[in-house]
Amino acid sequence: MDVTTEQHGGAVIHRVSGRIDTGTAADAERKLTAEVRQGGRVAMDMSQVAYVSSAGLRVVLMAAKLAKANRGAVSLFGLQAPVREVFTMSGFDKVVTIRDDQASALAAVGG
Amino acid sequence: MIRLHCARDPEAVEGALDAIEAHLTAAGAEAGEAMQLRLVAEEIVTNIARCAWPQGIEARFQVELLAEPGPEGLLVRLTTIDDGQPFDPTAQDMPDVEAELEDRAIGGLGMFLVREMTDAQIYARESGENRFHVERLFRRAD
Repeated sequence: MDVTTEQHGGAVIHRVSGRIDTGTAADAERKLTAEVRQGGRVAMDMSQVAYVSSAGLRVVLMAAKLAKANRGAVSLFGLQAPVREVFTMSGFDKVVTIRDDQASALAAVGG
Repeated sequence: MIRLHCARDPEAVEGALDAIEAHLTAAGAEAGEAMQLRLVAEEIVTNIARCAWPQGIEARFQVELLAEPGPEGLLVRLTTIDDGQPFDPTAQDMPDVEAELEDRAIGGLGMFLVREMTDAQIYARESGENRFHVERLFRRAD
């Protein structure tokens, strides 16, 4: 799993690629939750992520909780169909902001 | 069929999951199907590697995968056998997937996903071993 980060106005975009699973969850948590711990606004580009297991869902849930607790914001966009299905199955589409494209994801976090 | 004797370290688990995914793909599973079964295997195998024995104890456990085309589609059977402490994955409380953000527990989702992504889950404790078996039929149109 790799993450590249871009600044877009008042928000950052994390472009994630690879798998978010048991093996990469600790690294993903470190890279994807740094800004929301400080109340930052974050959009995650998931278009290059083909696989998210429960360990990856845990990272996303943690990011959402940290954002809420620290008055930040987080959204996801570009989920591939099989990954989207995992989010829907586990009810994460109800507690995490998911948008189709980058513009809507940035708008959702006020970026 | 493949039969692996998996150690507890993360590299061994990763290697087993890679072998499972490769075997599924070779047996004709589509990318999304192989992803779902890798996920099922990750949740089950990781749980055994981490929790079946006390930390620091070296152990190995068996992972069997059978993927065979049949009249209805591709039938996949995954079985794990370990001699760790008794653990019935089918008897675990399921997370509340309707809960609001504040109330969602961190974790507890693994076995929920296994149940959602397989057609059958069978657990038995036999001869001092946990035997957990899941099945999934990927239906084919023709």
